[in-house]
Amino acid sequence: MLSMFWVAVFRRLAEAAVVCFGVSFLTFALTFLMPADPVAAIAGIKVSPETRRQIRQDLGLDRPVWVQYGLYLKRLLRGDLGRSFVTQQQVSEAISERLAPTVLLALTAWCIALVLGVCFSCLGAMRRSWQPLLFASSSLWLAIPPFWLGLLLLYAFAFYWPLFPLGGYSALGVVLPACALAAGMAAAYYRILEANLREVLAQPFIQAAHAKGLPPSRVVLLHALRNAILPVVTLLALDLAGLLGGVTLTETVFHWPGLGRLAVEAVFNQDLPMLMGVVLVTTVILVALNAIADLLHAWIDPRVRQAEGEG
Amino acid sequence: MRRSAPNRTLATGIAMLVLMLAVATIAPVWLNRDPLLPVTDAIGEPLAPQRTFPCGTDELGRDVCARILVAGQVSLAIAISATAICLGVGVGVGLLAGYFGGWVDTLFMRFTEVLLAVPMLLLAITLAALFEPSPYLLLAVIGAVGWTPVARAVRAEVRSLRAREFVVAARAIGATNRRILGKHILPNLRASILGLAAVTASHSLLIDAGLSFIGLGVPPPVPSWGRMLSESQTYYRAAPWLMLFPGAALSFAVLAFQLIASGLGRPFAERQ
Repeated sequence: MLSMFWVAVFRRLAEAAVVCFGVSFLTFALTFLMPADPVAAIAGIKVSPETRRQIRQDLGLDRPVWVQYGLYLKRLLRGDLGRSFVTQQQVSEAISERLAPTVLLALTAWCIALVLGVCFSCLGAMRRSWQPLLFASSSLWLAIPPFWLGLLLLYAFAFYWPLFPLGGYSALGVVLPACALAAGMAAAYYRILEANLREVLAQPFIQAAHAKGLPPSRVVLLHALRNAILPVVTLLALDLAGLLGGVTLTETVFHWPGLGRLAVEAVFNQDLPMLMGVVLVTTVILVALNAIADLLHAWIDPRVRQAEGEG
Repeated sequence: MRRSAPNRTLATGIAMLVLMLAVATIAPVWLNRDPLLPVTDAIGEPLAPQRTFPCGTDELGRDVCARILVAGQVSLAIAISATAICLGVGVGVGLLAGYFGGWVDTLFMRFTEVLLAVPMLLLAITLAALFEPSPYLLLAVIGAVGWTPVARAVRAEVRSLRAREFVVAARAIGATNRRILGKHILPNLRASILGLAAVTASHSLLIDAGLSFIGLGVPPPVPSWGRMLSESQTYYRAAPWLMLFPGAALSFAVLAFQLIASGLGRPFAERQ
């Protein structure tokens, strides 16, 4: 059984590696297809033929495509994402500077969403009469784009009632962007958890718990919730990964110095290595967390482990 | 009670969609105001919502209501055409990969996985940033990032349909692959394709708005919800209506498509 599990682990990791390889090819191909001239982006349009040749040689642009891709891969494996066209800073350095704000925002938003989702789903499962109202409002929250919600929150809680800063990177400043991001996610968790909870609550072991005379809140929170959350673990991890990859629009609205905003700045500056670096790092984070989530799910839920071993 | 709930959701969504399409078609004619030209002399000083300008005016003295309506026409047209592209490519790839299996399946699905691994909006931004902005580029970009979830969902359904008795029976009496796909499998996918269409449309609207917000959407002077929101950032403290109404319009449109999707049994945005 154990060896079967390790086979599954190995297979999952191999799949993740293949996807990462594919994405590296994608970013390389996009860089290659770009109509803009990298020499012009670095040195400007007025450039002598010698300098042009020199820059092309430095960038390896005079070599055949497959050699360029090989060199690109070799650099990637060493963690070298190239240099920014604009600031000449190492892309990997710029990205690691943005990691802390992104992680802070992602974790805060994710925790808020999870807590709200769990609370409301328990509420919905225990009070049937509230269910239509909760369903309708979850539909609404799911449809509101976080960046617009962010603008509304800024107006209400940073300008009209100046409780929070108008944007920027600070401990207090994380609250509003996190709430803007969490609202839709919480609604999604509510939907899924509530459906799961209702399914679990109909099972015999819940009736047994009720029959033992446990208070309903205890039955829902301790007995049912654990089983309802289990199938969602993968989704939770995926969402966290999505947030860690940078939330472009919300970060832009709040001037939050995260990965997403780095991508937008790169677009404005026509800074291709930076943009591709962000795409690559984001994707690797997503793929890695996705694989970890699958394995975690298999580890905590014996039924999945068995199915994976057999499949 | 539980049986009628999804249908009511669907009905609400369709009613909202019809209302939106009707307003977007009729209202600009009825309002008869140029969204690109100032309607007041108060330039640089946005007017609050009032009887003549129900959504107020913007910093250039243009009528916000007229701009939202025209932007709605553009956004809906783009979202719906992009959805058609996504469905065309996604259903095609999903059918082929799911039905034939083997190396076709492996090839297509690996490719899909790679595209799905990159966050949708980031991929769209990257693609859009490489070329000159235009409405056609926008369609191509949304199509390029949006077909993958469709392909995946269709492939999964085709794989389960392929093993069913009626397909096996059709093959046994010598039906060609083309006939089986067209006459037996595709009709069975109709309901899920409709659901996928609604989900894709809501995604397309959000990507369109996101790209416009960053400045990669439909180029000015054509108004778009995303760019109106982006421009409102400078003025929203003095003129909150500049961000209130375009965002509300966008949310309304997204909600309409999501309710339809939900009513058709595709619960909210399927995030990969």
